[in-house]
Amino acid sequence: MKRNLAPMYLLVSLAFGAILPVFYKQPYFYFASYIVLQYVALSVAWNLLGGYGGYLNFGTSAFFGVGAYVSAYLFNSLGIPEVIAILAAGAVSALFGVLIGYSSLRLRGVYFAIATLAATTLVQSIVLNTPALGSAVGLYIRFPAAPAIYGNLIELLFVAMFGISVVSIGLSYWIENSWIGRGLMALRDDEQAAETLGVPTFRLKLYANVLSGFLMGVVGSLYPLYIGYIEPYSIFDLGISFNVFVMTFIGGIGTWQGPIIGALVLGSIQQAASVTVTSQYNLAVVAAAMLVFGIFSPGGLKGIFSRLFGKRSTGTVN
Amino acid sequence: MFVQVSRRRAVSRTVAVVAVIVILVVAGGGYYYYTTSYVPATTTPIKIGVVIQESGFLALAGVPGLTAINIWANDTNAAGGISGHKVQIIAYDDASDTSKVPALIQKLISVDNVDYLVTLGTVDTAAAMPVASQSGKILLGLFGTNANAGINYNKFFQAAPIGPDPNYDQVRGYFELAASINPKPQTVAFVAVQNDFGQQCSIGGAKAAAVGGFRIVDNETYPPTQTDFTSLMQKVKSTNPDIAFICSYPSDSVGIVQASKGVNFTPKLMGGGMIGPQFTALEAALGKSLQGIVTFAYWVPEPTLNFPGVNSFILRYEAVANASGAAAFDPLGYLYPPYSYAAMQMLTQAIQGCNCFGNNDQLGTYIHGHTFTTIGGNMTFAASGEWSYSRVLWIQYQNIAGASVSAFSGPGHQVIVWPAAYKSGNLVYPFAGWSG
Repeated sequence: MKRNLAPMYLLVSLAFGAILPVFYKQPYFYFASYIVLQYVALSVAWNLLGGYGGYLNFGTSAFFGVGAYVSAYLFNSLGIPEVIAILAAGAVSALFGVLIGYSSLRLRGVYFAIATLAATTLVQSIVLNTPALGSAVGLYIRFPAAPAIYGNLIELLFVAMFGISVVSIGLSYWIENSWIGRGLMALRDDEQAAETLGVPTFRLKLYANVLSGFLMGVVGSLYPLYIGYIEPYSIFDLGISFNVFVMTFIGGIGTWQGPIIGALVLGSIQQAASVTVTSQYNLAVVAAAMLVFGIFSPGGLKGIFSRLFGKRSTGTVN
Repeated sequence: MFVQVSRRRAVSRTVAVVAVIVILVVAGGGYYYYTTSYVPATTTPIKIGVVIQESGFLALAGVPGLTAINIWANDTNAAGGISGHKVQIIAYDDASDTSKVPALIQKLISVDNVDYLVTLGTVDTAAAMPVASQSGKILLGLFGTNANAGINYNKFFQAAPIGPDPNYDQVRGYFELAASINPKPQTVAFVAVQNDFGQQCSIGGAKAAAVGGFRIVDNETYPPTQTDFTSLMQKVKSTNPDIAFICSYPSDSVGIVQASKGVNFTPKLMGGGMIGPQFTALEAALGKSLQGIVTFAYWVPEPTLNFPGVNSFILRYEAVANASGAAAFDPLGYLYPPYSYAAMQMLTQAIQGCNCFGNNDQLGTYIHGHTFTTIGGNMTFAASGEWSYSRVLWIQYQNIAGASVSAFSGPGHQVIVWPAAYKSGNLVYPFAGWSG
């Protein structure tokens, strides 16, 4: 009987992330790694609908921003404990996913992508005109104390983001191998045929959008504690959405490993470039990488590994 | 049983494995270098860590600011350093992307082991504040409005002469100038960009308008991405205000000036908290269209602002900028460079006067308790780290010959009309209409 080792890998990974800061003390490592892990979690979350379902969502920064603002407001202005604020941020982002899903998941292709872009602008405008959320001036964040086991807040944030990334990966793995994943892949390949065969396409897309939104919201909820100050233009920056899309694309869209590989490789290159060469060409490098992979290896890095080592990549997006 | 593997496939596998090993070794080596190669110096040099916008939309500010810091470092080292310590600048480009700031600041602190930190602009400074405050290091903010509002870090010092009540002090001069006109104008129309600067400018403007007894007849806002202002300025014109108060960013300032000219919007006093006209590149582009506009400045080459050393600094800045390429961002250097240099002068004097290099608590207390003589005049700081008094200048563009850098070079083009202590000419009132 074949044993499923995934839960054990999950627990070992979580334990590793939790104890690493106890033994290794280099704050810069945690600051840089936090951003890389943030992109791992966002890319994995994006892949649920964009990769398995083939619906390209360019509204990542909207979900991320909703999570950031909800947690900042609850934690900062109302004094609600961080853990509750984080979960509430995920819940509100999931609700946002329901609203966006109901209104736009009947659209296909470029029309859905445009709708998600519009959603980002809509949320940004709401924040800009809401004084309780700091409007254009933004919100300054009051910092909680780090638990004694960790030396400072960034170590705690690293552990939290590590945990969110691992849980996101676990969920993605489970979905890929469950009826939900198979249904999403079926509708990605031919939505009408899948519908005809009884796949509840709209329901599955909505599930994926809500779960994706929840994870993105939870990721965003930690960002105010990392940055210390949030304002609508950097939080709802389309560069976040673009980065996530390209990382997933380069890693290998539609596979659970692809977003992890893409975010780790591209995120690390971006972090290294900003302290060695320059940040100036960050997005240019990302765009160039996307062009190269788009032309020579649409399956991404995962596709290259699979070709070299004999396994076929499962995901493609038309 | 043997599995047959094609020769081509075997080669590909080998190449892939070697490539992965090389990447891992290079990455590991690089990381090892960054985390272990630096040995903290206890005697020399003094390391200044700078996170600044060398690229992206704020490079217009960041590049001239960093150029001034580098000139200061060269001057200081040529003079033997600070108390025998040479100074070293370690600068990272955040590409005008705030999310990069915390990690870069942390790298400066924990890997590069810098002694002091420098940032530029409100948003970047606010993003640097949490990490900087946890480290206890002195943080110098070059420009920005109210960046310390959230944390109240007692070792933060802001270089621009805005004043202890930043929102109000930044703009009150415009309304005090208008209130001094006889007969006094009565109504004002606000136009503000929906970003951090625009909103703080509006808040301060509303307070100053109330203090001055002006009636606000229109209050317009627009997103920073807006490029066409014709309809907006037509609407503002229809309210027929006596004075216009505009809080805009560089590209919108250009659009608003062009649109106002297009719809022939001619209030009696035109201008406000406009960022943009002060940038030499935009001055040269707008040329005579700026004639008569009133906006703020921190330093201009007028005879009333001839602080010791500032004119020779400007000459050196222009030479260095031309040689280094910074001239593409700001060839004249009137806006950001003088106070970027002055902030570093302040730090030099503080370290020397306190004789406490290495003790940031003592140095912070010393800075709060003393006055520093710089090329930007005398600097003293309030508890918030802002200047303890305001010296925002209101200038009017006069005698503009055309659209070129030389048309704005030297005295007589940006005439100081407020405050009285630094006044270098009279306000031309009412606004004579658009030229150029």
